[in-house]
Amino acid sequence: MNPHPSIDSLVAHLDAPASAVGSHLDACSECRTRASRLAGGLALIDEAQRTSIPPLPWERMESVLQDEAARLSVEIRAGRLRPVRVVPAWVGGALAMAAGVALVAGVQAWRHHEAAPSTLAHRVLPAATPTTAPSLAPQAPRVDGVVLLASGGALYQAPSEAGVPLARVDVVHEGARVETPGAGRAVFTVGQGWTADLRARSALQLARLRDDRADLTLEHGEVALAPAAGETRALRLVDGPWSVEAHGAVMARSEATVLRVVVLAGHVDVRRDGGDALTVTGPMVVELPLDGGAPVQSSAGASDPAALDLALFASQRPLALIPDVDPSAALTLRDQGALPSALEAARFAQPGVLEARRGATAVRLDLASSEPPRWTPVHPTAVVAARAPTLHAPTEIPTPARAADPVDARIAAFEHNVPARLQRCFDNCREQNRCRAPMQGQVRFDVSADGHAVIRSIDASAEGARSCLVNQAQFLPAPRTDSGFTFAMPYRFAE
Amino acid sequence: MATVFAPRLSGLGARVTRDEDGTPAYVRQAREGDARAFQELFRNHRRDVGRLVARLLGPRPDVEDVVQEVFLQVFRSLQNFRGEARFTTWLHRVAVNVTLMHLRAARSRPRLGQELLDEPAAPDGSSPVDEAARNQRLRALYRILDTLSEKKRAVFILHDLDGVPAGQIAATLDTPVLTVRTRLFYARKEVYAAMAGDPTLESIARELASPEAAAAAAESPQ
Repeated sequence: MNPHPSIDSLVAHLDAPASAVGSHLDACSECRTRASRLAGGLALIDEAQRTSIPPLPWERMESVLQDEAARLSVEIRAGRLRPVRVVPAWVGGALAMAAGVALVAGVQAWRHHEAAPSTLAHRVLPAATPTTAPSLAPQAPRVDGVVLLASGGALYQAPSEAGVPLARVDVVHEGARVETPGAGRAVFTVGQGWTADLRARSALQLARLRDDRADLTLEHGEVALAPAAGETRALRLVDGPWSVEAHGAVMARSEATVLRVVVLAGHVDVRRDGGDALTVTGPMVVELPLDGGAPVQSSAGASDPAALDLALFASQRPLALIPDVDPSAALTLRDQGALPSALEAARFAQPGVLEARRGATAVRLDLASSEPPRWTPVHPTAVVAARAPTLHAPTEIPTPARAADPVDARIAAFEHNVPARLQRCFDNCREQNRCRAPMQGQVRFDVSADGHAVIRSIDASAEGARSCLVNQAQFLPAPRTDSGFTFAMPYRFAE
Repeated sequence: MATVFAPRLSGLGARVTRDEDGTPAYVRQAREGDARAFQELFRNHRRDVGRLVARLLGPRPDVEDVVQEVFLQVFRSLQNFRGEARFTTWLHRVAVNVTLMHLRAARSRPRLGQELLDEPAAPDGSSPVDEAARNQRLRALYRILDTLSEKKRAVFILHDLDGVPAGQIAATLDTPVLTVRTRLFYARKEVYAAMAGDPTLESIARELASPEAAAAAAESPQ
């Protein structure tokens, strides 16, 4: 006799009789019994599907819920409960990428200050379809931008409306205009995967923010544009007769007679009046005469300080405050924009000197130096970890005591960094109602000597975040120590 | 914000006003503190939530408590709704999580005997005897489902009993579709194995089968 058919085979046989299984059943009473039981069970499932749900006492329930609704309404109107601001998840990555590309490229450019400019790489491409051509095709869905940073009186102006001050996490729409005064700055997402950083005394028209493409018109001033990691769609910047289609990070500055484009990474396709394209591969600076004259490679080159302005950093006060940024975003210095997410802590050690930490390495950037500034390693204990503990809304920079022992300093820096890395677990848990209110307690960790962190215990209110926390814990950059250590991370969320 | 339809009616034929992103307007209004919007939210979604909770819990007397708890949680966390998923997906996610938490808590509490539980109301036209037999069958099924892990149970019930597509389950549970399919595969395997090994199902099978089939089953050699 054939071997007994599997459960799956029996289920399949009950659904559509199979001769092999059927002949086995004819000869095997044991399998007939199994099939009979299974048939009963499957019929149960059918019956359960058809079973109607018993009526519930909705009226009684509604009266209970009405009381709660009334209480919540009062709380909301009194401003004690506020909606979460909507920031797309990719924004953090975009911001980090934008800042990372800009800073890394900037430092690279400074390093190669003396290098001879490379030759202009170009090729002729077919003419682009004019953007203004009428089309019967349906418009791609709009993708509004989100403001990541707004300072110094940046203004937002919707069509035919007066300008309003721009604030972080505001949403900007297609057709609007963003303008920055003398000390202003606005960083916001553009399209699906780009970030625009509008510098002081600049104005930018958001001509098109669609899923398939985004077009910006630089009216005057300077803007830096950077794609998120993996972004393949181009971003188009228009100024006068020129259209610059960026396929990598660029900075553009509209001057009196030229549009200067600094290609930091990737390449741009430059078109005049929708005509043939000139491809410029970075790092490179190209000047586009606004009278429509022939484009020229800038004599300044991509390493020109005027093209990539780091002077902003040098003129700031000695201590940079850290605003309560989205923890998934990069570290942001108030009025300064973002730093690469790889930099875990940063501060101005003194005017013009930025100190930062990346993992166990501390680095320093002396912006006031007469030499081209570059990151140089410094002794770890010289850096004060200054990243905000984002689980508590920060109002001031915490200033942890400097530890004399480098190991203690590394542990202190690690503990300081953990809340930001785990924030998302708590956010998701709250949003999905898997955590219990009031959310207050501790998560305790054991860190082995070789730097592996594991969760030892989680207080009941955050139990719903356990799987996320356990998962994230294995990626925490814990320092190696002689004998390992334990620590507790407190958390508290206001209701 | 653009409104699609203005009248704010309750009852049959009323249409829901939606914001530009497709979220019902009462969600935004409730977030802004409009008590009537909370009521509208409840009335629009109570049946869906009630059905979902009842399916997940099975024939138990605490369905009402859990449904109420779901809406309390939804009201309180509406401020946390970030619009990253459709509102109904978010709502169902809350409902599933609250129900699973309830089941988890119930498992750690001493359980009452089945005979002490309220019986679901009998549908019109069925006799009390039929109804008792039906409840017995349903309990047999949920006894088997109780042996599954919480995640597999949720996927199995949503997919095989409630007919929710795998993609929607994935969104509700915030899990990749592939994971949903994998859980479903293993859940079915466990459920079928339990059915095939459960002697009580023989009588249920006979009961459910036609009289001829039942008679034939009774006569078949063992």
